Amino acid sequence: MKFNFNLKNFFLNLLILFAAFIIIFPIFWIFLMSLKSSAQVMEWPPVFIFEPTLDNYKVLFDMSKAGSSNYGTIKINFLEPILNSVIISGGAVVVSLIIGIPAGYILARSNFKFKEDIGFFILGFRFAPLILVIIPMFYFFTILGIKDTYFGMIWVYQVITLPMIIWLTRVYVEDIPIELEEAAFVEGANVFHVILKIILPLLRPGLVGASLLVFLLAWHNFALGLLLASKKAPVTVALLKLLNPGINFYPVMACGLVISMIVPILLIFLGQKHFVKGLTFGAVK
Amino acid sequence: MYQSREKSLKNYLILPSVLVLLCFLFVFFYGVYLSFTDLKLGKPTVNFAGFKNYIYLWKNPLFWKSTKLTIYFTLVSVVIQAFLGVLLAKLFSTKVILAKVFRPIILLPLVLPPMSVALMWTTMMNPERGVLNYFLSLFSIEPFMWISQYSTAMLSIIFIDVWTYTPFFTLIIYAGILGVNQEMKEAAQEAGASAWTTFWKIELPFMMPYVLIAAVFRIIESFNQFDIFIGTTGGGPAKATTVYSIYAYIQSFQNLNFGRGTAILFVNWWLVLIGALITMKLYQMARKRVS
Amino acid sequence: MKKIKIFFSAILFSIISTLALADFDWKKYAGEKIVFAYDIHPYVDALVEKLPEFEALTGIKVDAQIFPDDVYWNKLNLEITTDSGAWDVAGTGVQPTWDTSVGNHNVDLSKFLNDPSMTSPDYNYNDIYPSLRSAMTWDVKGEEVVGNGKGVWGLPHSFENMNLMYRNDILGKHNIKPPKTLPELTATCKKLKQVEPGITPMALRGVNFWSSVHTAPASIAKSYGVVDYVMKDGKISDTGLDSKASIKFHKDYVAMVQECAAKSWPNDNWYQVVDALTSGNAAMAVDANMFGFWNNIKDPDGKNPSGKISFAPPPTAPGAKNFESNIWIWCITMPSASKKQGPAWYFMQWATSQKMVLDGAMMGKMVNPIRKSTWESDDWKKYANQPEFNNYYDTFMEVQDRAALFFTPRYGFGEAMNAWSVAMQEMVNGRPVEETLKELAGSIRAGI
Repeated sequence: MKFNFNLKNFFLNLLILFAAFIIIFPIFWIFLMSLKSSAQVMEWPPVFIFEPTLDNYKVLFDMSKAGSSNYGTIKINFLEPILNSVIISGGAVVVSLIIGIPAGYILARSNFKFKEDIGFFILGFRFAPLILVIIPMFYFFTILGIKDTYFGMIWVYQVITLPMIIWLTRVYVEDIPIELEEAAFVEGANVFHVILKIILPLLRPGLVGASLLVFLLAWHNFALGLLLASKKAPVTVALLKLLNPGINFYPVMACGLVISMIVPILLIFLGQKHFVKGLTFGAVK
Repeated sequence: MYQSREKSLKNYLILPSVLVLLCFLFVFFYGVYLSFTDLKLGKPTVNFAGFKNYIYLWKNPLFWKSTKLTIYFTLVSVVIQAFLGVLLAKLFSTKVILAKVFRPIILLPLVLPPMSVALMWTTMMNPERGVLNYFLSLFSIEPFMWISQYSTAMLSIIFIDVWTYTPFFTLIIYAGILGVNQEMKEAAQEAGASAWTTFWKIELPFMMPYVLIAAVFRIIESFNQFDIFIGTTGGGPAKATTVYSIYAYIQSFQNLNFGRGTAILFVNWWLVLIGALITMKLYQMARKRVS
Repeated sequence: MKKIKIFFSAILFSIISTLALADFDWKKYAGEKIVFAYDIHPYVDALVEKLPEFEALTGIKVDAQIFPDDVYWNKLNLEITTDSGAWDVAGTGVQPTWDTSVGNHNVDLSKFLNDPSMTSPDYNYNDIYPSLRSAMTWDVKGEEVVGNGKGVWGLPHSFENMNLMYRNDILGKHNIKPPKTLPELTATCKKLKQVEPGITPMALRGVNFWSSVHTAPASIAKSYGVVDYVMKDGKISDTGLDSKASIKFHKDYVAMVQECAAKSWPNDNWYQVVDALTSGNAAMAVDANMFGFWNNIKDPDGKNPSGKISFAPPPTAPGAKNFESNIWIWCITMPSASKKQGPAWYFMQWATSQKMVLDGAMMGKMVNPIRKSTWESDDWKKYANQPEFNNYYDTFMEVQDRAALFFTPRYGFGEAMNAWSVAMQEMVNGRPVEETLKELAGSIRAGI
């Protein structure tokens, strides 16, 4: 009996190991690649054991001269796109929280004529192909003069972040028993007070998860930054800058990939619980 | 009295969000309008062109090929992800040690930017020097062409998509599994049902709503998928992976046919709408069945 | 009396000419700021390094914005055709400018060239190679581009002609001579595969973008007698891409790709080509000649295969009398929406002046130089003929004789030529050549 039990578990453990390997290996491989020299990257069979070097990271941050001298002084300065990503994604989330939480609250609590229509309208924003928006946006941005500005980018990122925040807030608020608020209203509190003092603290764990999720979605975005920004382009767009033989591009691109992935990975480990809650609560309802 | 005035005032809280989203709606309509013009970047005149762009698409074999590719990609990816998602959810919900240890890593592929994922796999999928073919060679398997050949490119991209987004299904289904009525499960097992029957008749129906709601999200995103395609093949080789988003991108930004590009995207939008609505209906049916 | 007249006219003449030559006011726009956009490229590196000189000369500040290749071309189209005014000077090529000049989105520079108050007298526009100047000159009539016109839509900045480049260490090891015709090239690849199985015989671009067809295919196809468009009465009447000559060329070319190119060919762009040639993972390439030049430069870190790359004219059709080469001209253009046209023009003439072109060449970056005077200068001759560059200089001179733009000016260049690169992928994948070319020609014909 005991022997049987162990065999089944052993087999399950093996399967899990296999699944974990498939998930982790590509990321691990790219990380290895970022530590290799250009010659090592192209070797066949691929090398797993080698002397690591931080040279490629130095090139990425312009701390050492890029690659061969014939391609000269290609400055990369990856710090700028990273900063752009942080400012744009973070800014977008903050703005979405400010205008989205009240909206979500209203959708959850109020009853007015077009409520469900507006709700569906907000949800429907997820349906639209982003590129359909970009083309006219490009015209408008040019006319308004906000192309390649943080303001313009944060505004356009609302397409990604705002609907999610509104919808998730609505779902969470619907979970909260309405008695608390009714009591507060009876005692004469106004709606801002109710939101700030009562709802927000209760929402906090769910909102942290939702914010993380939405920040990630913003961080991932590529198409908007590609066409609507130049100097303010986020890190995903800057990755393309690394496709250049002048900088030994395979390993340096691997560095760029690692960095573009490390911010989300860190966030996940820090906010794991919240993130999963945010993801599943919203979807499950 | 006091309450009703408060009520009507507070409804205006929704206004800023609605305004912001309204302007995107306006942009959307403007984009749709553009699809009825002959807008070509660079040409000095823009004229209303009625359905000309749509007729062009209707008559164009590449448009139909793109349609097939987009639907094929979405359906195959989502079905495989759903299937594997259920498997992984069951696997990681078992009580074995490694399940607990490795549970957090399920999130990993999800949090990576799709563009980074695309570039990462492109490197690994190099037919002559990529590490994937190295692993195949260890099992004496011939080098696979991955994204470099017409016949294998779409499958390779589906592979990448499955790797990235199966965890999404896993997470959602996993949350659902936790809620499966333990008593029902035990009762069935006591009544002599095998593990398989328990799974098929009790657990799976419970999981279906979760699978379907995750499917709605994935279907929407797969119909609109751009990053993974542009980061790997850019629509090639030989149009093997020219899905709607890529087709529209090439038409608009390389060939300067903005009118046609927006027309393609408008059709894309309808596809998304229909796909999402169908899946939502299935979801509601599954919900009913469970309760 | 006569002597006095001559004497006075001589003085008058020298006064006037001195007044004319001196006092070209370089500082007219001092204090202005312009935005200059370009693709990541050593050409612009050279300019950026010398920007302080420009600022000292003119007092104009330049904000150089440099973009990755994959992004730049699409951005360029957007910025210029929407008249955004974000850029005052933009790097571009001849063909993309056909598409943007039609809506008058680019400034016709002849008004500046012919204005002595705007152009320095020692600019010497005619010193630039004639084929380069004529490539940038056409007329816009309505919504059509008409070649051989008078409008100057950009200044050549630096350019490429196509060579067959090869690793002399690899070919030398096996006593293989560089092939002269396309079928010979395929045969050479077969042989290389036998003696050096670990490397790819040929590095080739294959991405579904016109940049893949304008290097090797355009150059070799011309020697088969292939034309992109057929002209009648000075107007485009038909496409030549499904002609008998074209079918023959494509059959040979596709066979070569299938035999010689890397398996990743459909996704390979110029960076993969350069990487393969420099690392020795490929033995040959038909591509822009300055890639070979750059990788022959003696590199202090020893990362360059210095001296290992040799040059030859592009392969031809079997039995062809001459080889042919397409040219790709990087040029700088002025978007019409620029609000700083004066300062922008000052920058443009400085960037393409005799001094800058020679300086850029001597830095090893602005190669190939656009001016005849540069190629005849002793400094450049000495530099480019150093042993590590092998026969770069001589091959350039040889090829330059026949180098010309393969393409016919036409709005819609991008669309048609992108389709050609996709058709190439289909044929390499196995689709019958005649059928594919017919379909390609049909779609292009529909737009004529």
